[in-house]
Amino acid sequence: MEKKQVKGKVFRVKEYPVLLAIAVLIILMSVFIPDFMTSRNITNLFIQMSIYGIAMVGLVFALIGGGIDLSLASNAMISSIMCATVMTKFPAAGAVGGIIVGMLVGAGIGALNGLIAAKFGVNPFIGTISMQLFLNGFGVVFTNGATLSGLPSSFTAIGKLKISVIPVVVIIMFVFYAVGHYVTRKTAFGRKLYAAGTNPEAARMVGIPVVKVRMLSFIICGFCASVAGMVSMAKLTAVSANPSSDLFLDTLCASIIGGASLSGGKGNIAGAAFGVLLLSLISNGVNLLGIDRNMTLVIKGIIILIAIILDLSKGKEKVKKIAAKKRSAESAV
Amino acid sequence: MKKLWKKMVLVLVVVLGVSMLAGCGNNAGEEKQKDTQKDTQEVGNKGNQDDPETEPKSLTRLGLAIPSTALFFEAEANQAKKFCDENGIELITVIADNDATKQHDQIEDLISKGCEAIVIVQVDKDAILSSLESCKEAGVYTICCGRQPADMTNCDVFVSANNEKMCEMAVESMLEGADVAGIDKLKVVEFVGKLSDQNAVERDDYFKQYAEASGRIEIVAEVASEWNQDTAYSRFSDVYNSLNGDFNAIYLPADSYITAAASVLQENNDWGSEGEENYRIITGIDGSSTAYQYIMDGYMYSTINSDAHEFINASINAAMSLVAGETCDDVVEPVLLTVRNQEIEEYGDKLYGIAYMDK
Repeated sequence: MEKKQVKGKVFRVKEYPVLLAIAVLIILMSVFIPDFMTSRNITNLFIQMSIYGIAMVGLVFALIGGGIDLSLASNAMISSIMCATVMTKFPAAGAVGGIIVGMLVGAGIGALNGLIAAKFGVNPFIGTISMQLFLNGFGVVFTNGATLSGLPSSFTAIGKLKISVIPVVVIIMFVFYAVGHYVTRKTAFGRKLYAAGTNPEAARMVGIPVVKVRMLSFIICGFCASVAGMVSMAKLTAVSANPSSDLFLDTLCASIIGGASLSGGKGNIAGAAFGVLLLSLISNGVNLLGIDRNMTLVIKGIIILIAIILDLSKGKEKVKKIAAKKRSAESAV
Repeated sequence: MKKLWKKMVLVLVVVLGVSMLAGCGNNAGEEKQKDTQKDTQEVGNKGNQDDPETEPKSLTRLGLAIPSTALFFEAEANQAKKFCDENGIELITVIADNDATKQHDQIEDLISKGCEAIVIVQVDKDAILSSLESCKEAGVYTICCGRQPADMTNCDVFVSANNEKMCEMAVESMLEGADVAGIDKLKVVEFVGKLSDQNAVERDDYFKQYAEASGRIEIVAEVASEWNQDTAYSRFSDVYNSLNGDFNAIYLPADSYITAAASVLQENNDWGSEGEENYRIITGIDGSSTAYQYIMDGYMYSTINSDAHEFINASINAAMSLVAGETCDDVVEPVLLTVRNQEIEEYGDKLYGIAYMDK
């Protein structure tokens, strides 16, 4: 049953409204914004998406497992700060050393979040918001409020390099999409994650190590946040103890648009990837049109509400169908 | 129905893909933009007088990237709109919510939009460098307004807000206020902005430096406001209690925190205007309408006016000159002014904050 639920096509019916919205938006923007369909803007759009796309992959894992990571943006910031510190204070470690340390820090913070939420049973909202506060404060103390710059060119090149016409950061994003999609859909871990997120008690009874699985989902989330942070740092060639104001909200919004649920057990990378594209298109359009940027927030708010209402109504329909099936089975007996 | 729906979506996806691919090959607009700016730069390099037949270019589309909707930046945005409307310039304003990554993306969008020049009030002096580089590569002029980037190589003009000068003037003004009130030594509570913000750091460092050099100022406590009114209020409450009100001056790195300071002092019945026993020397920076009101009411001694309107006017003028191919100073320094009651009376409407006062 579980296997049947998670296997399937890359695009499912659930994604069609998002795809339709994207298509309509692109057509409208192409018609009304002359500067939209230029190679520069399309490249920009995908580069801008990359940070959110990478972070989103991790958040979808946490959401499927029934968790949430509010410290995502702060984790991205701290991982980048650690990466930058290693690269600037210990030049011998080079970009590779810095990146490895950044990834380890990100995954480590994810592990702590997992421990707090999955092992000690603290509500992930409370656990990860505490982590967020800690990381934000620690970031300012650690850097003394200063911006870290002077990063090696071998690192900052990541933000500029292109393979043919495709920026490397976009390729990194698609690699994360592909791996994330494969892990959630095609592996035993993915199936266990859905099961642990849908009904942890039932999953435990059938022998799924729920704590371990949920912890791993937080570690993946932390790891992805760290990579997103480092990609952002490579783009900006600097980092400060100022976490991105939009990173968490936009990735959460994209995940929910893509079908993830705050109650766990739902979500898929492909859908959320379209969510990221949709939100990036909206931001891009708002900037190109010079519309009040608060409109972006209004639009995002409306989209999240619609997505949640659709999700809830689908859930109710499902419950009704199950009840009807149960009644017909009982009457047959 | 479901099949039809699927087919519709598939067709749309194909349209989407094809149009995106077409977009990737569509460089005509960008080439035109680059050519225009190349021409402009060539005109600028040669000078207009050499070739009377060359028409000077005029600025048609300007980007304005500001970090937040704080009063000062909002005043800049309003003035920019007014200035551009009067001069037939299309203005696109983006606000970064103090997020350096977001500002980077927004500047990229402004380049895509074909802005000939961008006035930037940066979030971060280091993080802005990659955006300045992108602008340079795209042939877009950049005017850094009020905040200096870490490296000026790719910044065409810097409209300087000299934090050091402001702090020096603030210290001088406080001492003058002390002399007027007959106070010898000043015990100052210093409000501090968010220490990840360049202006906050500079206004903290330079104030301390000049205060120490004066020999008459002792900083008895700091209030870490995080550039947030609520935080400023609660932390100042704690500081007030710990000092038991034993201080006679307050330094505000941004005028807007006067309201938090006033609330705490009022709650403790320790809020007095000039001439009263519990009067304190309060000096701020920015020259906002709030500060003017408190100065006029006699509760605040002075503010160091860095005129938001003048900053933006100087920036847009620089952008217009650059696009027209005219020479322009690399650094433009708008005049700073210590504003006390007498200056408000003297200059009146010429002070930008007056426009935002509740008349």
